[in-house]
Amino acid sequence: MEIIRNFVERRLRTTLAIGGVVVGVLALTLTGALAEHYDAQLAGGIAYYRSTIQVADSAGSYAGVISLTKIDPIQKLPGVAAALPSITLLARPGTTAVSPLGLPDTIVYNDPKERALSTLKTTVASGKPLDPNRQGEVVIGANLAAEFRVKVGDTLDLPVRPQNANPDFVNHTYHVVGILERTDTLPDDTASVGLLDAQTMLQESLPASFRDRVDPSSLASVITVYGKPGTDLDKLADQISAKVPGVSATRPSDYVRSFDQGATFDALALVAGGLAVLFGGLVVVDTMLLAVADRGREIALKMLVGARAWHVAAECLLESALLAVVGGVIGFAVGVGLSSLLDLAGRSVGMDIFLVTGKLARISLGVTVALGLGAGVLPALRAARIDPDRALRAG
Amino acid sequence: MAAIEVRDLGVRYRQGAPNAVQALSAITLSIQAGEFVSVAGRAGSGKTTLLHCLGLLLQPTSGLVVIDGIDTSALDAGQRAEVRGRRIGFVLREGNLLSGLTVLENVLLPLRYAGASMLSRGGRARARDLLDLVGMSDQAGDRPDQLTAAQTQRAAIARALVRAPTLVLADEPTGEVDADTSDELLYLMQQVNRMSNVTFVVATHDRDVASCMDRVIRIDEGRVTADERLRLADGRRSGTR
Repeated sequence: MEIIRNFVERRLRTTLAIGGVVVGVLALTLTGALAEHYDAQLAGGIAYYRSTIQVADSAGSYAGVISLTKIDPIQKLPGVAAALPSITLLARPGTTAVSPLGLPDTIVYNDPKERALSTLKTTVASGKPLDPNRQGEVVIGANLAAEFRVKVGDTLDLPVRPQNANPDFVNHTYHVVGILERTDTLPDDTASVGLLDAQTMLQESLPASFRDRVDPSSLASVITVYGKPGTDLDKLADQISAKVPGVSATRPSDYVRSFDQGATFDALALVAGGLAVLFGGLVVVDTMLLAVADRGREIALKMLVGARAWHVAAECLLESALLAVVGGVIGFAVGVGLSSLLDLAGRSVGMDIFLVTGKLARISLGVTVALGLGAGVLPALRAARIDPDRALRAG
Repeated sequence: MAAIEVRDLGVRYRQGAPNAVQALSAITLSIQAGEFVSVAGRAGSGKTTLLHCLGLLLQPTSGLVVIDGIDTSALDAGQRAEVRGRRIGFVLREGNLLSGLTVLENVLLPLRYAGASMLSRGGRARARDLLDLVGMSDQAGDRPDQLTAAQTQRAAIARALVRAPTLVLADEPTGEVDADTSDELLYLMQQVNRMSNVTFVVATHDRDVASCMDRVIRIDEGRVTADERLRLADGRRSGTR
C-alpha cells in the first residue's frame, strides 16, 4: 500500500517512469511479434523443405518448368519413397517473391499423396477439401481468405491481374470450396487448385514464344521427392542429380539455408526491442534514483525504527519492480492491441505480420520483471547506504 | 543496571580533512534505567550528535556506548539496527511520520521491520492501545498532513513505544509546538516514564523544558559541562550534584 501511495503522491514522475517502460515493452512486443510471425512462417517452410528434395529442370528448358517424364527415373532410384509433381505460381504476378514481413501469395498444386508424406498438415476450417480431379475449384488459406474477403461459395479470379498486365495476361474464375484452418505458416498464403488448373496456369505464365511449344499436361514447377525412412536426403539429392539426366536436385540442407534468415531477423528484432527496453530501464533507474534522493529522510526514519539496510534495499527493489511490471503489463497489452489492429488493417493487402504467442508473453513479462529488478539495483544500493545521521540532520 | 553507559565518547566529522569538526569530546556518563533525563545545550553544542550515538545511528570516532549492558562498539550495522529497533524508540523535532502512511501504519512501522510475527502477535492491538494512551485514537486513520504539530508528536511517541523499548531518545520533541502543547507533551512523556519505567533522554535547547526533567546533563562545544539532578525518581526535588 505504501508503494502505491508513493506512486500516487508522485504522480507525474510515476507516470513518466511507467510511460518509459510502456514504450520499451511496447516496442519489444511489436518487434517480438514480428519475429514470432516470421519464425512461424519459416518454421513450416523449413520443416517442409528439410523433409523433401526439390528437383528442377537443368537441361536448358525454360526455368521454372520441369517435364513430368522425369518422375519415373527418379522414382526408380533406391531410397525414393515418392516423386510427385508440384506447381507453385505467384498469385499476384509482379509482386516480390520474398518479403521480410510475410510469405507471398501463391497458387499451388500438391499431389494428394503428399498429405500422407508431408510435414505440413492442413485441415479445412469451412467447406470441403479439394477434389484433385475437379476443375475450377480452389481451397484457400486463412490469410488469403481474409485478404480477398472471400468465403466458401464465393468466386476468386486467379492469378490476380496486375495493374500493368501484359495484353496476353490470362486468369480464370474459381469457386472457393474450402478455407483452411490457420497454420501461421505456408498454407495460410496459398490457393490450392487441381493439377489441370495448375498446369494451365503454369503454361499461361510462360513467355508467349515458349508457351505454345509445351504440352501443359506434361508440366510441373518442380518434382518433390520424399525419401524412404532413414534415407540421407542430401545424399539422395546428389544421386538424383548424378543419375537422372537433365535435372538438378537441390540438397534439402542447402535449400533451407538459402532462405532461412530467421536467426538474423530474430537478432535484429532482439536488438531493436532490447534498445527500447534499455530506454525504459534507464527511465526507471532515473526515477528511482530521484526517489531515493528525495526520500533520504524517509529512509533514515525507517532506519531509525529498526529497518536494516536490506529492508530499505528490498523496498526500493520492490517499488522499482512494481513500476516496471505496471508499465510492462500496459506495454504488452497495448502491443497486443496495436499488433491486432495493424494486422486487421493490413490483412486486406496481405500484410498480416504479427504473431503474439505465449512464449512472447512470457519473454515480455519476464524481461519486465528483470528490468524492474535490474533498474532497482543501483537505487537500492544507494538507499541502503544512506547515512541516517546525515539524512536526519539534512531535514 | 545502567540503561546507558558512555565512556570517553568522541565524534569527529570529516576525520582527516582540513575542515574536520570535533563534535563530541571525552564524554563519559551513566544513565540508570527509568531515568527522565535532559541533554541541554544551545544549538550546535553536540546534543543531536550525542543522541545519534546513543541511538546507534552514528558510529563514534572514539570511546564506547553500552546500551542495556551491550557494548555496541563491536556490533555491525545489522546488529546495531536490531538493538535500535528492539530497545530504542525515537521522537524527533519534526518530520517524524512517513507521509505515505496513516497514523496507525506509522505506529506499526517498527513492527514491520521486527518481522511479521510481531505484527501478528497483538501488534495492532498494542498500537491502538498506545494511540489511545496518547489521545490519538480518533486520528488512527488520518494521514500525517492532516495532523497538527502536537498530534504528530503524540503519534511519534506512540510509535517510539510500540516495541516496548527500554529507552526513548527525543531530539527537541517540543521544538515545533507552543508552550502549552510543550507542557502537555512533556507531561505525557513523564507519565509514560513513571508508568512503564522507560528511560527518557530528551535533548533540548529550552531551559524551561530542561527544568521539567529529573536530571539535566548540560553540554557545550561537545563536552559535558554540568550534570544536575533536579528531582528524585518519585518526583521530589533533589539537591544538585
